[in-house]
Amino acid sequence: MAFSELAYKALQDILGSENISNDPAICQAYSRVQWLPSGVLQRERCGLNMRPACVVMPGCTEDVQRILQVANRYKFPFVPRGSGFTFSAFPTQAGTVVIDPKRMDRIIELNEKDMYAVIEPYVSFVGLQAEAMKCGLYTPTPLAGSQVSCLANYAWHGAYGNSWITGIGAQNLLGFELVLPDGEVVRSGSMACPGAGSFWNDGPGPDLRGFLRSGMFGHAGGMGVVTKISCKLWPYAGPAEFPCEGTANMKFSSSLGENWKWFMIKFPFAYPEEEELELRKSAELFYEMGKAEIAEVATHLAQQFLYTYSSVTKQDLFDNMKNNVFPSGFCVVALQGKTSPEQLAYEERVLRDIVKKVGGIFVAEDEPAYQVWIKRAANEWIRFGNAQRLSRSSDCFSIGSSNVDSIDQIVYEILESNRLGRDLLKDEGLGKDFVQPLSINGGWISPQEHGYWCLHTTDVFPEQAVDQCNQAMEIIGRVTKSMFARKSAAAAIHMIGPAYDFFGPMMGDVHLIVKGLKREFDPRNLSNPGYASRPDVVSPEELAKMMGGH
Amino acid sequence: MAIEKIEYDATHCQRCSTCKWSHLWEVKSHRFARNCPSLVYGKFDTYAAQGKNDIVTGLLKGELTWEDSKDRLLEIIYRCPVCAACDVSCKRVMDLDIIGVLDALREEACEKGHGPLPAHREFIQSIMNYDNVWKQPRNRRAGWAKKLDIKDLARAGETADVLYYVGCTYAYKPGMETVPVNTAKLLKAAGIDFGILGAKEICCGGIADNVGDKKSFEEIARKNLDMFKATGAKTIVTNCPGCFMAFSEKYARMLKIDTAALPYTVKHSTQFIAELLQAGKLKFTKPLDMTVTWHDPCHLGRRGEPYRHWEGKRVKFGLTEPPREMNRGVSGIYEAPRAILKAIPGLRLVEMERIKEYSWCCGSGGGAKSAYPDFALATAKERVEEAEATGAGSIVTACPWCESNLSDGIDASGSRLRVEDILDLAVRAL
Repeated sequence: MAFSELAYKALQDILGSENISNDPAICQAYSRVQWLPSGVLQRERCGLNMRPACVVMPGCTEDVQRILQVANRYKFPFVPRGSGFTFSAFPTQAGTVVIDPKRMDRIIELNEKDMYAVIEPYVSFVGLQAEAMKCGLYTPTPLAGSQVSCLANYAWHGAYGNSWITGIGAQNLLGFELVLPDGEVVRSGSMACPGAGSFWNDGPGPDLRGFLRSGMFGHAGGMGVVTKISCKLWPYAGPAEFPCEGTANMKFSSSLGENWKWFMIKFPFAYPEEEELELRKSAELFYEMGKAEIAEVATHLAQQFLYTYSSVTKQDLFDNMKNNVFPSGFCVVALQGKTSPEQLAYEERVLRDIVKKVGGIFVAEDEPAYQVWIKRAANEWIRFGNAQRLSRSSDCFSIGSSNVDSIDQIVYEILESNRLGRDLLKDEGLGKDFVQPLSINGGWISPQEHGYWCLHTTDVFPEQAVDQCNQAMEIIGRVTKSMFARKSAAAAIHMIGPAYDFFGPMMGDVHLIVKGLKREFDPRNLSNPGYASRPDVVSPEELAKMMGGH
Repeated sequence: MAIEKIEYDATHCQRCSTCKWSHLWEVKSHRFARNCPSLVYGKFDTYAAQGKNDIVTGLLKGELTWEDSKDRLLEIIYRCPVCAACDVSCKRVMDLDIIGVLDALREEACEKGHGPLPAHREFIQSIMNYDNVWKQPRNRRAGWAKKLDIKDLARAGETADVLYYVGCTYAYKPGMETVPVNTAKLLKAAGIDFGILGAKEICCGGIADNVGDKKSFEEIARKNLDMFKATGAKTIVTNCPGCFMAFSEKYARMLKIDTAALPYTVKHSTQFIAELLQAGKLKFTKPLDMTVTWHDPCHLGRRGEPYRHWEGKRVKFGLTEPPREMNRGVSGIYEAPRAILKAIPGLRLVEMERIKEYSWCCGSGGGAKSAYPDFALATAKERVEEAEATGAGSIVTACPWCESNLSDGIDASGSRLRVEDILDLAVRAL
């Protein structure tokens, strides 16, 4: 579909010719995302329809309003994005305009006293955290990496290294400014009241956070463009500059000063034979820590995190796996003396008592696992600088399964997911060409908010080949289906866009609610139409077929 | 197609955007968190390494052709100083040869007859006609050396332990002749037996390689290799990081050998002087009461690493066979200039936020200043702002291109900073 010259001219008049381009060479850079199997398949299916008709760069909320008004006048779809990391930030049909927010990168307010920041869409986690640390505060850091857009991550999902304290993105969102698909602006929380400060999500003013989200995940631009958010900042008693040493890929960061301390904890069980015992003991550890309300980070790391984040090159990763540096998963805990050194000492005493009680063992400093993880990658959990190492093994990766529940139930789900995944590999050869043992050997237990709830993922690492990516999707689909069959609170993270209609009925018909809202607020379905509200990319029938008819 | 050789690297870009930022653990402020001058100026993702990977992918798959947008493609390819900040950031998390992608795109442009740009062709033609990039007569090349009694190794029978290679810009550019003069003073003070090539010195040819004109580069490089052989000198010292990189990395790459296997050793003058200081052959005695910040030239730092030849292929999971040790920007020359500055009594060195392998480029390299002066100036102004934030009174560096472009940036910013060459300071401290 040819993009209307009049529409282009109208956009150009709003933004100036330097902030818009329909040049094919410019637009080519907005046409693919390959690190996810679903991205590879999306590109395979959509082809050059993923290349936008033009890319626009608004400089302020008013620019965004006017862009959306033009979109409604000329009826063209638009896709807003943050840093453009995930597959929802791409067009799925010809004639789409991508809204790149690079000119909107201001930290508008950093409120030290009330511990929040108001930011625009292109502010990265790293930029915000660098500024916050100077004030004795910090942001969570997402597993997507600190280079991504803070706003987009909070508005969509967000899972963090220190989710033990912070929870996911939704829990950190204090308010937002949203340009609705028709160009009208709404503000949420105390941000809606001029002069009130942007410190509170519940009000005064309307709390519209649910409008941005559908279940655990945001609409990724399916309900307009978020132009500002207010987000929580957290107390931080470390150095004002993130401490690290070494060079480039051989860079180490193991200490955040005297008020922080890292621990690795293991249990005396054989892996994989006694995997269940090890995971259940880890759950016990977290429950006890939650009761005591100690620690800043508490997580059980599966091999895929341990190996990938700590390996300095691709070859090093495969060498470490060959040398079995991480024979199983490990629990990783960080304590922070936020208020005083005495707090740190107290929490350490409590942790040592708990570890003893649950039969855990502190990994000694001279063990290879400690040397490789703590020395190279522990602080990664506070500021993700090496996040993409997760997919370096094969230059492609996907969450193979994911769900949300209590810690105990998550352990059960990990075991069931692993069992099914391993059966699929053994019986049907699915995933036989993926990187092993990283694939289908889940074990990430991510307790949130002192273990109040928990999420996990098991991951797959195919190569960027269509046949392998199809296998990855089939594994994901079949494991997810099995979760629903077990009545588990499955969340199917990266399937939720194209598979919305498929999984919606199993998630309280959330898809119907979203579609209803969408019809009201975006009757022409112009706001990221390929995401959430319409299965443009994969129809339910195709999806079922892709999953092997299950 | 030149881009076929880096197909894996370009097509396996994750689009993670790590290439657009300085090392995420090293970021000290929101203001100076970014690392890519090309992207900051061009804004659209296309100007980042990620976008250039997409361009290569598009060209390889036939989704994009030169006919679609030749002028824009040339701008995307050449409005970039090839400073390799993106390469360092990417390789830290992935093992993709980003600098290989940027080089291959330029080579591709030349292969197709679209590159290099007219401004670049002028340089290359000047080298072919006059042996220097500035269209200057050969007999003025050693004008700076008059009355200094320096050996001319181009003369039959003349020999020396060290060949001091001056480079076109220090030799010809008005106001910059102090650098070779002061280099000679330092070498003499240390008792080094050295000589120059006088009027017979030929441009290193680095600029031709930088813009993708491999044929011209090879022609020039071969002439220099013959000249070096004729002098018998085993050690070459040069002031210009561009020449340093050409002799060290580019010539080895052309010959398909490791830098260590070249028939000579090349040292940047800061390396050589730092070694003389350490050996006690030079000593600074006069205090300089000044606060300075050091700007790492890209060709000395990130791109100043020795070349390690590798021939092989990507196999399953993108592993390399045989295993490839990639350059990651970490073993360039970062410490030697700092050691010199720290050895000067009274001088206070304060660092900018982005230094060493994460340094912000001045904006001049890769033919960017000649073809896109506005871009180069904007990039320099950003560095000037970063330098001003340190409280220093001077930016010290050791590259004629950086010195020139940063000076322009200072003028355009209305800054009170001064640009100093490190060896000028060294001589003042002798």
